[in-house]
Formats: sequence, structure tokens, C-alpha cells
Amino acid sequence: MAEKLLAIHGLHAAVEGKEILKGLNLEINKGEVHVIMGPNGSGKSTLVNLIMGHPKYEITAGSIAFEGEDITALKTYERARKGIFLSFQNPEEIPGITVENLLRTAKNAITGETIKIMAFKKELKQAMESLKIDNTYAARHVNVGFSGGEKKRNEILQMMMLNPQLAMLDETDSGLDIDAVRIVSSGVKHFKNEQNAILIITHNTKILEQLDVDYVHILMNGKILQTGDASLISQINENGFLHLGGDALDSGEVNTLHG
Amino acid sequence: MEKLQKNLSPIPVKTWNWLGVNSAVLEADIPAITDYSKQPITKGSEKGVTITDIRLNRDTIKFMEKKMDVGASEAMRDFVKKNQNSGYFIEIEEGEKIGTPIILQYDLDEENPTLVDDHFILAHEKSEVNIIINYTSSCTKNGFHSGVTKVFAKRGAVVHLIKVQMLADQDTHVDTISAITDEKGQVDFTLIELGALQTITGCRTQLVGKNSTGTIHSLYFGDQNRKIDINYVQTHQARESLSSIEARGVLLDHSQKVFKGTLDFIKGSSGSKGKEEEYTVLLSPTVRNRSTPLMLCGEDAVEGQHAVSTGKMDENKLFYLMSRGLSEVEAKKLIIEAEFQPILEKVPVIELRDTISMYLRRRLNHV
Amino acid sequence: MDKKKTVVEDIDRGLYDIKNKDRYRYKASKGLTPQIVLDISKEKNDPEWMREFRLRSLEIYNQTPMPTWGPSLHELDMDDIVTYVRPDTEMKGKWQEVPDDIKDTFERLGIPQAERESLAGVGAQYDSEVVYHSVKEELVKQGVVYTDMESALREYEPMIKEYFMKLVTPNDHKFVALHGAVWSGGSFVYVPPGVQVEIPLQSYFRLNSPGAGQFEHTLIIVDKGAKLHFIEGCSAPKYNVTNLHAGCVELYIKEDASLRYSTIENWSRNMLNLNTKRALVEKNGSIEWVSGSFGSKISMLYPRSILKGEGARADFNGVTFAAGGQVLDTGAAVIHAAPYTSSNINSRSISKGGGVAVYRGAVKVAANAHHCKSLVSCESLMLDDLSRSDTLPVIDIQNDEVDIGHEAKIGRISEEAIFYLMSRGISEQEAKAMIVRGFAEPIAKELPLEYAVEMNNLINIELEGTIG
Repeated sequence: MAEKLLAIHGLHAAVEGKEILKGLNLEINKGEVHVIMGPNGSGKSTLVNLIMGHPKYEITAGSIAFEGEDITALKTYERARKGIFLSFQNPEEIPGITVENLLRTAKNAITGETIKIMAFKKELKQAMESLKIDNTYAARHVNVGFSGGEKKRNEILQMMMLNPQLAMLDETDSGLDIDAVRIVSSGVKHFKNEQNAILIITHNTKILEQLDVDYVHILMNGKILQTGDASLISQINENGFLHLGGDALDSGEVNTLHG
Repeated sequence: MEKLQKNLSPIPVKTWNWLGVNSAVLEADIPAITDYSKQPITKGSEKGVTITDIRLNRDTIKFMEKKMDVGASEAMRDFVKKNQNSGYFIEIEEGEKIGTPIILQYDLDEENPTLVDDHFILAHEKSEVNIIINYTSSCTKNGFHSGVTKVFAKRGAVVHLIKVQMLADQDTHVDTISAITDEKGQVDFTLIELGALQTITGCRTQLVGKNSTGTIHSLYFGDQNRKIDINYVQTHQARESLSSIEARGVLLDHSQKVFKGTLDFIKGSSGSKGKEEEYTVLLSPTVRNRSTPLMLCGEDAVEGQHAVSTGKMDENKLFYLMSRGLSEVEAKKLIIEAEFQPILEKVPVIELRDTISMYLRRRLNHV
Repeated sequence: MDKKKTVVEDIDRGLYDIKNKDRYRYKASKGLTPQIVLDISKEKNDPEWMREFRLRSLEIYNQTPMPTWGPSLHELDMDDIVTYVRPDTEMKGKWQEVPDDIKDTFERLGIPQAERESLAGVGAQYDSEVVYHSVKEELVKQGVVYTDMESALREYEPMIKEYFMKLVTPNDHKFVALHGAVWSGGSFVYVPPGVQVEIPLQSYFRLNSPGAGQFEHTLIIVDKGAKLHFIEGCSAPKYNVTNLHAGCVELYIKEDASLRYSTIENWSRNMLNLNTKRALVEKNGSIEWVSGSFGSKISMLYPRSILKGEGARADFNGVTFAAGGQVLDTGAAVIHAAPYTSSNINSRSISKGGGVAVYRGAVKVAANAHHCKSLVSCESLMLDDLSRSDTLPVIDIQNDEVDIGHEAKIGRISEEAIFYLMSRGISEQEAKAMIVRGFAEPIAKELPLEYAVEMNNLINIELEGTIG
């Protein structure tokens, strides 16, 4: 039997008093690739930010367990040290901190030991090459002056270097041109193994082409409306989310559909 | 009298004296104030608005005035109160949205060469009003205007005040606005300073109510030997208040300008945001252009920023227009007009907007 | 995110706070009278012109009012300040000969080690007098002079007479008039034409005596086409009485010459630091100021660059960290007095625990200074709502062929940035410290490595226990 990595049960969550997730269930096992699709405003980003422990979101009911342990009381960095990673939809610009410094500090924090500088530099160089990131970017300040695509590739670089157990990619493919999606996608493929898992939020299928997707979840109105295999993706692409249920119509969220 | 001429319009925090920006000095002598006998109100009152002589309302406004911090010197404040020869108390009733702008038109001439006006605008809860005060002059020598306008925007009220100054070339203009806002109140000022030999003008907004807003759009034009001193202060006293100052100006010939803009975040004004921008185009090597964008901050949860840029006209823009057949002078005029346009568009009366445009064009003919 | 506020009473400044016994050979009486000035002059064997200069400065001091702007200096009582303390030692050219307690102090501050490793010359001043001076042999051969001011006054009198307090005159303000009357110690550097001093020279000023003033004078002349990096470090242990520092720095940068002047100031929190620094830059010359202000109770410090020759340039990179009880009123001024001159001011300030950080600046463009460029950027970080941060710049432009920009921002650490770093496994406190260090990074990167490390250490000391 597969080993359970993430288990979310009956999750309700609110931001600034407004309920966004309304009883969400989700289980992810090691070795699996999950995709979450859904219209804008359905709660996809809220979900991954909650798993990462963003202070703006408040859990009102339900639980999030990682490797059998409830993590809802843990600080963000404690979750990261357990092996949870989020590739941000809009990565922060952090002036004064170089990409290399961030990664070295983070890797020390996560592994709990001081890494060897030469080995680290070599690993970083290789990872950057595989993502076709110019090696001068190691000395640049995190995301400052980066294009949208460069920011996203920098997120994947961090994922590869920190080697988490659960990687959550929040629209990592949006804003990327077709070549960049291919580079990111092969990076993700390279990262994937039987001991880790990936949760991908996307509007696009290009990023999924090189991956074996195990489950596709449709998130609407704060709940998982439907779960299926990879074939669900093509259904959504043909018919959109509209045919899946009336809830979205009531809330007017269909107006923001794209994808 | 001498006391009156000095230390006018001080900045909230002093700096080096050698820069000459700490306060302004009035150069002309203050003349004896005579009656202003013309009727400034050209539009009749509307439903929901009462306009009465301010002297009849002194008791009503005394209490409100106490809270208000007028930026001008104390001596100048007393002077206006003692010598005022025109002034109105404009009261907008609760919930009334006044469509047609209220216009006060002051025009100095040989019979009425001095004006000391003192106004109080009281906008009750959720009301909205546009008020224009326009100063013109046909004086041939030494016309004088000094005045104070106070604005109180109560809960949810919106006051748009547009002041236009096109006084004659030898006139003096010393003007102060002082405003205060309750919760969700808004004061929106468009301040256009084009004429007079010396202009000393200030505007101080106290954002006292939560979620209140103060905006200033300012435009100035200096040529010949004009001296302009502008002093705007946005004081954030409440949570989540918003302010902005946007100033644009052109200086040519021997004109001089001091622009002082202050964003002041008082402790407790968390969640507030303030923004200040000044953009000046210099068109002569003999101008003097001083800017003092102050930012004072006693609260960490705020966002404040200011930016000042000064220089010659954008050469690419000039080149583009000249490549379309315009002469350099024509191109410059066009760019200046374009620069001023967003602020002129804040003037809600088309005829006045056109008058200002024509006035500007006439002045720009000297370029 | 919960906003937590912990105010630290006082921090352990470790080695900076080591006090030595107040051991001196001569100490002037407290306060200031013509007799005291004459006594100092006699003690120092001044030439006659210098004695007269001191007395004239004292007169100006007595006639000049206190500044009408800036932080309150009400606690400064000159009657309580000892203006001159001669330590009980002669100046040494060999480190071994410096008395043990003084030597230990400098050892702990890392001065001799730095000299061995990365400096071309070192001067160390203890209270009012320079106790140690050395300069590498090859520089001496090239004609570079690096010595204490008193020796310079004896050995290079004509040059001193020509330049001393001509750039900063006693008429400038009250505290330079005071400086003119009671100055003592400091460094003199002369770099002959074309000589490139690639390794920095450093002077370190240490004030040990309680209730004393330090009035060192630094005079640097970088002749045509020459190049120099000069580093100044300052510290003092904390006493419960007010100490006063009113130093004066005059920098003359000749045609095509360049000077980088770096300062890490970490005076103790009982120090009033009223320092005056000025540079005069000739044609195509350049001055670069790098300034870290961490210590003192009150600082008023605004290095001024006068760009006198065509094509001259000034750069200023400064970081100021004001903690509880500190009012650090710092900034920079640039006078563009010639065509095609340029300046770049980059200031970062951090305030916490009730500290007050003020940026005060001025950019002035004279009527003849056409085609000049200036860019000013000020950013302030507030770590809590007990603190203050004010930005007070003035721009004064007197011609139209200019390109002048100024921008300033104020705010606190972005919570999203903290979350981002925490999502990478970094603890909240370390995330905040990283962001603050990153904020100061544009300045730190201009410092020599060991000073950048010292600056980061000072930031870390300041942040410990404050956030979290």
C-alpha cells in the first residue's frame, strides 16, 4: 500500500472573515502527481497557502496532516523543514538577498546541518544549467528585476535544491512562453520520484505533458466537486467548468473563467 | 506689520537655514485693506445648500475651528480674521449631492484692489459638493489678496474644492486652506496657481477619521519675476487614511519656486498610505527651483513614498513632435499643455477650463 | 501575523564597552575659557598662528547661537565637557610599545590584526592624542604622507597652514567653531600626484575618558590623478555622563583624483556626535562616502561634497540604525558648483525600539552648473510603532540644463516576504534579520569585507531579542 503523505479532512477556511474553503477533503500519497483545476476564485491558491501556513488564512474547521501528524499549529518554516514546498504564484521580490544566499540558508535550515560550500555550489550550478538559468543569477537579489518567467524558473530551482517531499506548484506555468514551460516541466519530471509527491495548480495542460498524472481534482466554490484521472483534463478543456454544476453559476464566478 | 511679512507658511520640521525653505517672506508691503464691494457669487444657491455671510456664523464655526490646524503663521491668521472683507459659510445638508458646482468669482480692480476672504465649507454626512473659487484681477499695480478657506467633511462627505488663481502680474496672493475629515470623509483639492507677482499658498489636511481621504492636484506656472511658495501638508491621524499630492509645474524666465510637500504619519495611523509626486519642467537657465518633499513617520504599518523629478523637457518627445512638423516652440507649448491637461480636467466647468487654457496659452506665447 | 513588540532595555555591545582606567598625563579643566584654550595650545606646542586661530575660533563659538533645527541638544552643557585629555603615553611607531591597556583595547577592536592583513597604514587615537601611527614602507617611498595632525603641523606646516579649516571654517556653525578652538589629534594624509594607494589606510578613534570631548581633525589631500581609500572607525565605552565628539574632516580631491572615505561609527550611547565632514572635488575628481551610523545618543552628521571642477562626481552610500534612546539625524549634502558634475545619494535607515532616524539632505545646483545630474534615493524601514523615521530632503536648482531625481520610501518589513522566506524553512527571526540585512546590503557591499561583516554583526546585535 502506498504511503500517505498529506491528508486533509473537512477543511473550512476563511480570509478576512470571508469563507473560501467549505469542507475540502484531499489525500496525497508518496509517488503521486495530483492536479487541481478550477475557475479563478474557487480557492485553489487558498488551499496551497493554507498547507504552507500563510498567516492571512484562518482554518475554521477540519485538519491538515502531513505524514500522519497534524501540522495546523506549526509555523511556516517548521512545515518547510518537514518537506513541504510551495512554488508561489507571485514570487516575492526580496532586495539585498541573493539567490545563492537564500538557498544556502534555507538548505542549512531544512537539513539542520551546515552544507559543504563547494558541493553546494556545484549542485546549484547543475540545477541552474538544467533550468537554463544564466549562472549570474545566483548572485542576483531574489526575484528583483526578474521577468515573470525568470521568477517561476527560480521557484523550480529552489524546489530542486531543497528537494521537498511534497511540492506544490501554484500556476507555475502561467506567464511562461512555450519553451519555458517545457524547461520547467522537464525540471519537475526530473524531480519526481517514488518517495515524493507533486500537487499542481494549473489552467494549462502543457506543463503536464511530460508527467504521469494520477489524479485530477476539480475545485469549485471551496469544495472538491469531482475527482478523476488524467482524462478529466481533456474534458475540462473541451467543455470548461460550466457543465460540472450549478454552484458556480450562483456565485457569479463563471465570469472569471479562463482556461 | 513687519511681523506679518516674515515666517509665513513654515514647514512642519525645520532644516538648514542656508537653503531658505523653512518659511516664506512676503516681499510687498501689505496695503490698507479697503472694502470689496462686488458680488462674488455668480450662481444662485441650490436645494440642499445654504450660503450665508461668515460673520453671521462665527459662533457655529468657532467650535469646529478649534480642532483645525491652519498652516499659515498665527499673525497672518489673525490678520485675515480682523480684516476680512468677504467670506461665506457654505453648508451642505446631510446626504445632498450637489450637481452644479458652486462658483465664487473674485475679481480685483482699481475700485476693489484688496481682498481678504474667509470661508468655511461644512459638508454634512454623506453629502457631496463641487466648489470653485476663482481669483482674477485687472489691477495695474499692487492688487492684494489674502485669505483662509476651511473645509470640514463629515462622515462620508465628499468635498471637491477647486481654487484657480490668475491674478495680475504685480499682485500678491497669500492663501491658506485648512481641512479636516471625519470617518470616510474625502477632501479633494485642485489648486491652480498661475498669476500674481508673489504667491504664498498652503494647504493642510488633517485626516482625523478612519478611512478618510485627502488628495491634492496642484499646478503652477512661473515666468518673468514671479515667486511661488507652496506648502502642502497631509496629516494622517487615523487608521487606513489615504493621501496623495501630485504637483506639476513649469518655470521660465527669472521665476522662483519653493515647493514644500509633507506626508505626516502620526502614531496610530496604521494601514495608511500616502504618496507625493512633483514634476517640474525648467525652461530657462535663470530660474530657481526648490523642492522639499518631507516624510514624517511615527507609525510602522504605513506606506509612504515621494518622488521629485526636475529637468528639461523630454528630448524624445520634442523630437517626435518636431518630426511631425512642429517648431521647437510649438512642440514645447504642446508638451506643457499636455502635461497640465490631467489637472485641468479636474476643473468641472468647461468654460472655466477653456478660460484657463487660453490664459496659459497667452502666457506661453512668451516662451 | 501577530505583531509582537519586545523592547530591549539595552544591548550588550560586548567589546565596544570595555572601559579602561582613566589614566592621563594632562587633562584640561572642564568647561571652556580662553585660558583653557591657551593651556591646550601650550601643551601642544602650537605655532603662533594656530594659537591665534584657536582663540579666534573660541570667540566665534561664543557668538554663534545653537542650531535652530535638528535634534534637541539641551543636555549638552559645555561646562561639563573636558575638552582635552592627553593619555599617559607618547606616540608610538611600534605596536609593542603602546601601553598594555590601550593596546589591549585596540587589539580587541581588531586594529593591529587588520593592519597586518589588509591595511597599508594605521593610526590609532586614544582620547585626545594619537598613540600609534604606522604606514607601509613602499608608500613612504612613493611620497605618501600619513601621520598624526600634530606631527604634520611640525613637519608640513606650510601645507597645513594652506588647507587647515579652509574648507570647513569656524564660521560654519557653533560646533566647528568649538572644534577650531580645542581640536586635538586626528590624521593627515597627502597622496602625491599619480600615486595609486590600492590598499586602504585606516584611523581608529577611541574615546576612553568619561565626560570628555574628542575633537580630532582629519585632513586629506589627494593630489592630481592620485587615488586613496581611507577608513575611519570610532567607538567609546559607555559612561553615565555625556561625551562629546565634534570632529572635523576636510578632504581635498584634486584633478582626476579619487578618494573613498569609509566610516563605521559605533560610539557609545552617551555620545553626542556632532561631526562635520566636507570634500572639495576638482575637475574630474571623485569622492565616495560610505557611512554606517550605529552608535551615539545623538548624531548630526551630513558629509558635504562640493563639486568645484567640471566633471567632478560625488557618491554617498549611508546606512543608519537607530535603536531606543538614539536620535540619529544623518544624511548628505552635495553642491554642484561646476558644469557636468554628477552625484548619487543612496541612504537607508532603520529604526526600532523607540529610536529616531532622520535623513536630512540637500542637493544644490548653482547657476553655472549646467548639464549636471543627481539622483537621490532614500529608504526607511520601521521595525515597530515606537520608533520614528523622518525624511527631510531639499533640492535647490538654479539652472535648467539639469537632470535631477529624488525618491523616498518608508514602510515596514513586508509580511509576504517573511512568509516567502519561512516557506523555504527559514525561521521567523532569521527571515526578518535577513530582510533587514538585505535592506542595508547596497551600503554593506561598498564596504571592505571585514567592515561589511562588522556591520552585519552590529545589525544582528541590534536585532537580537527585538523581533520574534
